[in-house]
Amino acid sequence: MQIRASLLWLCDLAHYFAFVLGNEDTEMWTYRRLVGSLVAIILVGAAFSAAAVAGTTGVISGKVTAAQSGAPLAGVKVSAVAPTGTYSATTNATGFYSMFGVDADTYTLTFSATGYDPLSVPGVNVFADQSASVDAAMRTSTKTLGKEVVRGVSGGAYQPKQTVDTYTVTQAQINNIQGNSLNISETNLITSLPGAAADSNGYPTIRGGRENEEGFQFEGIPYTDAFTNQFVNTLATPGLGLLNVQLTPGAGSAVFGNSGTGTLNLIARRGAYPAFTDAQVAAGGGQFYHAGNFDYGTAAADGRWSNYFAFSGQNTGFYYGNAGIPAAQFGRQFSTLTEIDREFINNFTYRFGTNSTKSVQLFYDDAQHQFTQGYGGNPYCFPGCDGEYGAAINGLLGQIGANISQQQLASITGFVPYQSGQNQTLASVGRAPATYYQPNHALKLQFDDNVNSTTFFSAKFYQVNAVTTFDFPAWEEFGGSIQQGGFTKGVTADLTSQLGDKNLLKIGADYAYLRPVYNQPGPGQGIESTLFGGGDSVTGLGAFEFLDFLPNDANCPFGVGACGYLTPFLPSLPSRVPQNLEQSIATRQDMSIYIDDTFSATPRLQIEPGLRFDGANYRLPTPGVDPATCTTLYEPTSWNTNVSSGCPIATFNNITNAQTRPRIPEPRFAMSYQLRDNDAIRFSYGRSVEFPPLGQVDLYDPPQAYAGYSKIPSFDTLGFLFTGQSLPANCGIPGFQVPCKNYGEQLYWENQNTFQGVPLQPVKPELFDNYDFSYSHQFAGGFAFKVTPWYRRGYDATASVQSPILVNGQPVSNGAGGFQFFPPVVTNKGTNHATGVELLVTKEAASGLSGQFTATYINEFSNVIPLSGSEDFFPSIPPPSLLLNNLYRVGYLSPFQTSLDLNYQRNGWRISPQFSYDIGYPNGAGLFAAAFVNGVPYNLLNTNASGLINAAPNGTVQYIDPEDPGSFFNPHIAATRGTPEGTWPGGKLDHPLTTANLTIERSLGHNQVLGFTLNNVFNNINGGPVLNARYQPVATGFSGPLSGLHSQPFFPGLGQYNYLPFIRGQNAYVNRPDGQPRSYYLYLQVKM
Amino acid sequence: MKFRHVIGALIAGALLAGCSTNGSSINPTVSPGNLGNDKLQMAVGTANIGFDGTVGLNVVTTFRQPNGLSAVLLDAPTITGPAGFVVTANAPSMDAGTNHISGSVQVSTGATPPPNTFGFAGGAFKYGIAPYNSDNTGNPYPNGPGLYAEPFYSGDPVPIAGGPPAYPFFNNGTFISGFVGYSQGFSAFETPATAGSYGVSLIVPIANGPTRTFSTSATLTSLAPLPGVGAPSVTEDGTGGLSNVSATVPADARVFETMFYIADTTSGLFFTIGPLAGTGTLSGALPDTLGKCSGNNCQNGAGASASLAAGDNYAVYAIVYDYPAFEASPPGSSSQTPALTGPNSGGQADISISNVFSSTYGGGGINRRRPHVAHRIH
Repeated sequence: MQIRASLLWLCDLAHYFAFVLGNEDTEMWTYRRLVGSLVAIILVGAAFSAAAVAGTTGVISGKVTAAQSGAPLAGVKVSAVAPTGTYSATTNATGFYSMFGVDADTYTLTFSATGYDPLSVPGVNVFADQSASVDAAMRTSTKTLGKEVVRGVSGGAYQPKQTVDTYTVTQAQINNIQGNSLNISETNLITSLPGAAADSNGYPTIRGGRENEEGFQFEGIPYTDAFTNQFVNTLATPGLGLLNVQLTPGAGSAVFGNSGTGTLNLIARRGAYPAFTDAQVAAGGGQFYHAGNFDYGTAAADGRWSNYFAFSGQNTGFYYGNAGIPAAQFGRQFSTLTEIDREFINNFTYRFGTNSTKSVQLFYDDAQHQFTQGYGGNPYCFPGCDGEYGAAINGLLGQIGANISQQQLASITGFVPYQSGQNQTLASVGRAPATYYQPNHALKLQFDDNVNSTTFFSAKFYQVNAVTTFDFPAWEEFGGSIQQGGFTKGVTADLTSQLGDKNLLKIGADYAYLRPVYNQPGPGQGIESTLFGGGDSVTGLGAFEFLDFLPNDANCPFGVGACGYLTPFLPSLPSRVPQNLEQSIATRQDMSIYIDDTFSATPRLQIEPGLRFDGANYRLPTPGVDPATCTTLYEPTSWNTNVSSGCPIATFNNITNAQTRPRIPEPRFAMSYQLRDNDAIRFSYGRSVEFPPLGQVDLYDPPQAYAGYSKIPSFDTLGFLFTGQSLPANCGIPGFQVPCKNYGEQLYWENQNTFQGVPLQPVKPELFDNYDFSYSHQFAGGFAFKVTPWYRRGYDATASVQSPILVNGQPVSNGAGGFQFFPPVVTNKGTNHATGVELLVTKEAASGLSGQFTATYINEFSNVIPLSGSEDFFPSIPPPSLLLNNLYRVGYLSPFQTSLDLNYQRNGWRISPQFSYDIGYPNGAGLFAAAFVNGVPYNLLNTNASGLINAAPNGTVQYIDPEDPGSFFNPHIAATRGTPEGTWPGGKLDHPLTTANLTIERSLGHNQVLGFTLNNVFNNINGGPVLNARYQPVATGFSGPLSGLHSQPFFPGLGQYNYLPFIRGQNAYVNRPDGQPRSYYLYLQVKM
Repeated sequence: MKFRHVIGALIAGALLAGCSTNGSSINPTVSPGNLGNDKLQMAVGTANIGFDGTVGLNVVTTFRQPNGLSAVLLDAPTITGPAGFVVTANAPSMDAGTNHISGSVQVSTGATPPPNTFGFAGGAFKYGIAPYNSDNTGNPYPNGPGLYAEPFYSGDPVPIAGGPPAYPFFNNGTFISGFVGYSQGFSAFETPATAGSYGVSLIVPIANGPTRTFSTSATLTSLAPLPGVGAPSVTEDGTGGLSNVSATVPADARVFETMFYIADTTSGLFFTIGPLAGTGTLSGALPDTLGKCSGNNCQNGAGASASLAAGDNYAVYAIVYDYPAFEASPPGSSSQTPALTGPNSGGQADISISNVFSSTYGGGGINRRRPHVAHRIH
């Protein structure tokens, strides 16, 4: 009956969820329609998909026995009390008790029964989705007080009942890691945990996964954006507002889905009784820094309601380099000048019903982060008046003897968003050259019902909105305000039931709707697409439509007669070339269902099997040939033009439900065994999935941008220059083209092919098999350690690949020594595997020394070329490397990283140093590279000769004798850069690095604390060495006077006339001493 | 706190250049080579320029590492003549009327080449002076493919490069496409030679070390040119080759060897027949299938293509040497100090360039016009 009552509540909630999910506009709905559909989805599980949703509550359970006899005690009242709430239970006939839906917090358990001394167990930490097992042995009243039972319920490394590999840090431990709560760096927090490491760009990865193969969560709701699967919260934590943080490397239990290589879940604090408040203000030196935090938590005395509110704000102005030069003077391209962070969270809970067994939680998070950068181009000018941009265009035109004046170029270049004048400067409109606006808002409404002593039900609705605006008005061809991110709405339902003493069963289902947002306008790209569009009917090269937008006069770059095709159709020329505009059209629905059982076979042995089904529906157009244009949006597997009439016949055998509607079963298994009181082992296996981000699948230009040209006949401008004939250009995906139906189609495909490629590229999800094993031990004195070796194998990893065009099985020459390729498309041809070991050592203490030491070793291999562009985000693989089945050690991870976070408290002082160390990051151009020779792939010595036929991502360090070059197979290397190199790129490590931060606090009394934090104690300002891309070889180890120089001066008059030599210098590798130097701040904290 | 990746910028790699905070201030250790082990050689002689009817100066240089490869990839050569040596007024202004023939070191990108003979591009390499000076783009042929057309200062110089069959076949797709043929090691100047001591000095500009200078000298004792040679006679076999290429080399005790050069100015391919020893009527043949093909030994297989395609314009000329020119040339020569004078050359390196035979393959007719070539790279 109580379960049925629970379902009725679900029905009522289903009304609201379905209404909000399905209708963004106000719309009437009916009870029967919505309940029927949503309940069917959630409970019947007709559709499968995946959203990564963990929980925010845990379970406390255990067994109470008589100390003397060991007999189970029934009827013992057990209560768990924390400032955030109180829970109670009574032992059953077997002495077993359990409490569900316990908010994550630190509790004191009290056991009381007539005839027995009460027993108190403090410091019981409850973490989300975990069970805290607390057994009690009670003594009869004639004896002295019962002893405390200490069973691995601390936040330390020893967690004997933990089946799944999880690292949880409490609020106190967060402060140890961060130094103080003013440190909002989530990256620092994550990478201080075992299994997490910083990649070479400083972004956190979990067990070596890519940046978008991780599940970020806050309060159990996914915090990844709908378009790229990146984090939405700028990797900033809300200062005071965290209760604990939970990192689950690997697959986790069946509760976790679409989690890739691991999941991070942040849990917000709750209000408590009596109320508390905390305020901090800080001001810094070494660089500009002002910060303020404030929080207030309160609750009713009877625990009926609680509310927690926190605000975190920081303004930072960055300095760089040896002399602490402000970024504006440093001239460091794309450096951050200022950062503004604001975050507000509120967490409200209301309990109701008999014995307050029901609760509703409303959680809201609002974050605003703004990064203003240095120079993304000419800092004073929009693209149209940017001399550098004009020089770049003319650099291309000059190769064929043409030139366009700056004024002409400006007259046909479109405006970026919010630009109103051709010669408008950024300064006149108060716009910075580059600004990142990264807001995110999240709302969660959660209903919990402790149905009875053995059953707990939870349902939640959530909405996460995160659309970043990359405002880059001066980024030449990319100029404009780019919006990227999306909106996610979802519902989840979870049922937990204690079946007898031994089985804790969980079942649940999720549904999420992802609507991405991606708008990238590019006026300059519109111009450039007419140079490279590939729609020319004669040469296959760019069709030069920009000439059509100019008047046909003596100023025409190719002379009178070559310009002005659009004169009869447009009222006046010059007219602005339509900008390139990429917009996302696809949406996605994620769904999942799972079942998980934790079986306590014995008091020492827990076994947790589980099964999860994840699925996604990508809402994409059906593959096919558009009868109106005879083009396709997907790359066909065959293309038959031998038709008597109508469009070519295409097949799309590679686009199936596996790509557009994947359904993935994921078995999970975990177990833990407590060998002795202080020793435990655990093992887990889990298959996990990562659905391809919509940004990898959908690269579509909306044709509506060119609709104004649809009534103008297509005209192959470049072909006309060659032949004098007026012919239509070609439209469609290269290799699958037809004559354009009109000029609008022509412009559309030029833009699509130049910058996005194949419009829609669905791929299968990536799968992982995760294995790990742990051994943990606790020592006296609060020390504990846990060591976890692990292995992960990835299948069907996504990567962009270009395939060669084959005719009768032979590659087609491009006439320049190479071959023709189809445009790159996203495929599942990536592969990776990784092994590693994680170590965690903890020391817990209420006073004196506490802290943790972590170490992470990762040995990961992938078929993505190390150090290639976007290696751990949206990578690409050159065809020869793929065909040779080359595997490389990944280039974005240091194989070994450690962190030591200490905290020493005594007599009103707190000293908290944090150290991190890595053995270096992969470096080096490598001695070999994969390349095609006569259409056959080979691994060849990577020289400046083979560099023209391969895709060595980092350039080369070996130079042939130009008079006696030798063949690609036997190159005659006359000089090298003289540096040690590995076989492949990234084959060497740069030098180890140790960094340190230090916080010192002094209690002033009256609830006040004065603190001082010193960041970057060792003043590390150097980025890792990078291969000098402007290196002039003279002889082995010697470089020439052009090394480091660029043909165009960058940013004249801005302190860095020729910016590149400063960073590139004349050496084989250059090091940029342009990191942020040592800085400090003072702060005052008041706690009540 | 991290800003998020923008996908659009991924396309051009314009991402987040400043996020790296890992690594150290130490760059990888550089182990420099020992330039002191490099050797510069020079020989001088006369150049009998048959198609212009003049006699000029010939300079042969090698600048090699111990393994026989080019010593450096960048240098600025200057050839200085003895008293009385005056460079022709046809030379670029910095050299005309002086006693030196020079090049310059480039110190900034995009600079206008100076008005001297070798400009920024010319440098001394394994065998001769060639427009292959490196730049900072990593391209092995930053100044465009090809070798210098010679002689310098001629109104109509001819391209000279060594190709098959005399040299190993390289038109099979396994060589970089910018390589057109092997340097013949000499620099002929259409300016009157003067007896006396000539020197060559190379400035090797080094940014991460001290600039080095290499120099050597050679003496021109005899101004007597090698005998002139008429244009070769050529017989096409109609199947892509030349069944007979012959020329008459007048007797001269100094003559060491003669090479025939065939330049297909339509396809850009170069072929060489030789070396042919002795004097008198010397002849050879150009096989049919030395055109571009794909794969090792493809020139002997089904995928072979004609050396000279129907309709291709081509030119043939002979060069007579009084020193082992072919033996000193790459790729066969790996000696650091090959012989640059002949047994009977009197310590000089003299050459005689024949008149030019020009024609269109399969087009009939004999055209004795000199082939038009682009001005030399500067």
